[in-house]
Amino acid sequence: MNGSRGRAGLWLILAIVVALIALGLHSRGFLQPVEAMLSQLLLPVQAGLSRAAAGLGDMVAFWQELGNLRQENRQLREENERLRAWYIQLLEAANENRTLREQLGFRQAFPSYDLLPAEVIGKTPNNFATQLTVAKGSNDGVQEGAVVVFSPPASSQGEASPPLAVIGRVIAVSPATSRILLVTDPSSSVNGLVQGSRALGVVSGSRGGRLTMRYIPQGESISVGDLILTSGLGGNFPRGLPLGTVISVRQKDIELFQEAEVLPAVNMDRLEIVFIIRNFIPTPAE
Amino acid sequence: MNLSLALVSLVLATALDTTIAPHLSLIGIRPDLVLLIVVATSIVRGGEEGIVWGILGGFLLDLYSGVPFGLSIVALAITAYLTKVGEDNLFSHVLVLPLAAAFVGTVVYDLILMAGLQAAGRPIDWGEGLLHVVVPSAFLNAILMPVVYVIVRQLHHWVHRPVRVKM
Repeated sequence: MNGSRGRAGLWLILAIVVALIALGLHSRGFLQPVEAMLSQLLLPVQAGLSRAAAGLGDMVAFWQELGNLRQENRQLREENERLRAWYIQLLEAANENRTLREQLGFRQAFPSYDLLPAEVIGKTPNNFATQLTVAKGSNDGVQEGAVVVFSPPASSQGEASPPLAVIGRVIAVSPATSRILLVTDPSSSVNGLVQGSRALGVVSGSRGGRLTMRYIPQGESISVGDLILTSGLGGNFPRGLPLGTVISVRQKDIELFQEAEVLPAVNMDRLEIVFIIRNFIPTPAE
Repeated sequence: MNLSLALVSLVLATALDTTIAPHLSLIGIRPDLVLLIVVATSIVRGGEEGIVWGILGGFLLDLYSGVPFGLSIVALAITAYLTKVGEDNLFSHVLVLPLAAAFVGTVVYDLILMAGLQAAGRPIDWGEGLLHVVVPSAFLNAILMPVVYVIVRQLHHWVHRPVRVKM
């Protein structure tokens, strides 16, 4: 028994050495061809399993949510009515904004985005990181740092599309696939602002797929129901894209900053198609 | 050790871990199929082979995992080694061993991931992580382990002679 445990110990040491070598090779980019080859190899398998998994996920979710359907239905109806009224106001504001800008000769505030639809084919295989793999890569014009959004489908009546919501950004690209860091990942941080008061803060991922907005100065107004948008500061994300809605505020007079818990604008667990903005170039870090 | 079996099994398990497993989540926690396969292999084929499966499985996971590269390799290898230690010293009952190995193995695996992420500068809330991720994940993996163990044992029985091969 001691002999076999000694041999196992040697194998364990070998595993640690292999891990360190792999870390070194990966940090220098030598494993990129291997990643690209495996991504290409697994792409059809992942795509097929992912589509099957979406159906399985719907079945599992159905049984999980069955008990809450009636209440959720009522809440959704109320929210739908509120959002419709808000949407009409936004359309009016957008029309007025466009007219004023034309009159003043301003350039268009929100450029038209070159959106590349990408199918989600995989998610992080652990409980600590929140990333997606999509079936578009450098062959499709995707670059590292590209912003990823979700766009609800436009209505058939020809209304203007509702605003895009931020999903995350591309952190690794291979010829046929890309890896996206979701905004709900604890290592993600996005400069945000409160739509109403324009208070600034930093939005980062937190447990349970939520977002936390930190470093909101004391005295700034923020309350439950406020919409949080990207501020554009830092240059990693375009300005004015929805991140989520405030669901609670933590404020103590003895602290310098307030914090708010934010419900993401998009349910990250149900993403099947996302959109990569190809013509927004993030500002390189100095 | 049958390298082809290891590669095919682990590539398929990685594909399942990135596609099907997220949809099997309960209270936001998903199972770790590659981990369960490595632990089951350590029990069926011995710790040395389990460690090799851990190296291969960890390499595949690290290509998709979003954790510092090499961390999954170390975590799975240590888990496979401790499975052997546990089998030698603590658990010999045929029904208890896979469940206990899955539970303890998950705890060890997740703790190593959390330590590695913190060492890499990622924010880690240890209390939240232990209470809301590690413990529920250990229970979920232990529940799934009987199924995985039977499949792995049968697979190895088909491919190998039903004895442990000394490495």
